[in-house]
Amino acid sequence: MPPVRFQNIPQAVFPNQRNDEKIFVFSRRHLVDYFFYIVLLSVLGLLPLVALPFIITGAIGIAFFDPVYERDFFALIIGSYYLLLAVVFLASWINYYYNAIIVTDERVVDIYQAGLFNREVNELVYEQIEDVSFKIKGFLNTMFHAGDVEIQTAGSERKFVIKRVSHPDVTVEIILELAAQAKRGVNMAERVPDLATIGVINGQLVGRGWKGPPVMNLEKNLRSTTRRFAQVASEPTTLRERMDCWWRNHCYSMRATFGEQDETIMQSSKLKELPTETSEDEKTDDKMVDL
Amino acid sequence: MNPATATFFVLYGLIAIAYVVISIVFFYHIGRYSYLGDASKRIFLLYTMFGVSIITVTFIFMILNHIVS
Repeated sequence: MPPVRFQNIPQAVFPNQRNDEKIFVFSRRHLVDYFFYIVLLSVLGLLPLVALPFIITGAIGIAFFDPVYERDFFALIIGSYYLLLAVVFLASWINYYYNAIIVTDERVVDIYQAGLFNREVNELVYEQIEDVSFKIKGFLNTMFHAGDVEIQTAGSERKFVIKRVSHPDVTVEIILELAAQAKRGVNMAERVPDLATIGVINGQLVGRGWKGPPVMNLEKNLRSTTRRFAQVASEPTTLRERMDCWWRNHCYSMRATFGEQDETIMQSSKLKELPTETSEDEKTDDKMVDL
Repeated sequence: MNPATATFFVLYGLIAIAYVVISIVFFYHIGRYSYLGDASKRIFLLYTMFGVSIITVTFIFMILNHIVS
C-alpha cells in the first residue's frame, strides 16, 4: 500500500494567499472592541436569574393562568430569551471576530465585516500606499494599546481605516518599512521589515529571530488534523469524524479559491481511495504519512 | 393532551426550529468565511451546545411540570 500523502492540504491563512507569501501582521480587532457586548450579554444573561426567585415565590405571576401553565409560560419565555441571547452573541461575535488586517510581503489586506451579510475586502499593494498613520483614542484603547490604522493611497481620496488593531504603532512601522522596500524595488521574497519587531500576530509582537508565530504554524494544526484523516474511515460515523470531514472540505474549498483546482481534484480523488482500515505497517510507521 | 399544554409545546418547538434555522445560517457563514486555525469552530460548538442545553432543559422542565402537577 503506498504511503498516504497530504501534500496539498492548504496552508494558506486567508483566501488568495500566494503559496510563499509571508505574513507579518495578522490582527483581528482587539477584544476591547467586543468589551461592550461582553458586559451587555453578561448583564442580560443574569437578568432571568435575578427574576427567578420572584417567579418561584409567586411575586411575579400572571393572574389568569393556572399555576401549571404559568410555569410553562415562564419556562418558554426564559428558554426563548436565552436562545435569543445565544443568537445575539454569535452574530455580534462574527461581527467582531471577522474583521482583520493582514500585512504580507506583497500587500495589505483589510477585511471588514459589518453584520452577517455585509463583508468588504480591500487589498492594497505597497506601491499604492502614500501615507500610513495610527490613532489611539479613549481610555480603554490607551490601556490595552489598541487603535485605528489609517492608510492613504495614491491617486485616491479614500482613506482606508482599520479599526481597533492591536499595537497600531508597530503595525504602521511595519507597513511603512515594507512600502519603502517595495518602492526601492526589493523583491517580494526578500522583503522583511528592517525592524526589531517584524510582526504582530493575533495581538502578539514577533521579534526578529523568534520562532514562528502561531498563525504561521498553522501547518502544525493541520498535521494533527490530517493524521486523523488518514486514520478515519471514508464514511464518517462519529460526530468528531463528521466535524473533521467538514473541516477537510472547508480546507479544500479554500484551496479551490487559490487557483489550483486541478491539483485539488486530483488530491480529492486520492483521498477517496483511502483504505477504511490502516494496515499494520502503516500503524507502526508514522513517518509513512508524509505531511 | 390539554390544548393549552399542546400550544406551549408547539410554540416552543417552533422557537427551537427557528433557532436551528438561524444556526444553519451561522454554520454556513462560518464555513465560508473562517480562516484556518481560527476559533470559529470552537465558538460555534459552544453556541450549539448552549442552545441544545437550553432547549433540552426547557422541554424537560415543561414535561416534569406536567407530570408532577
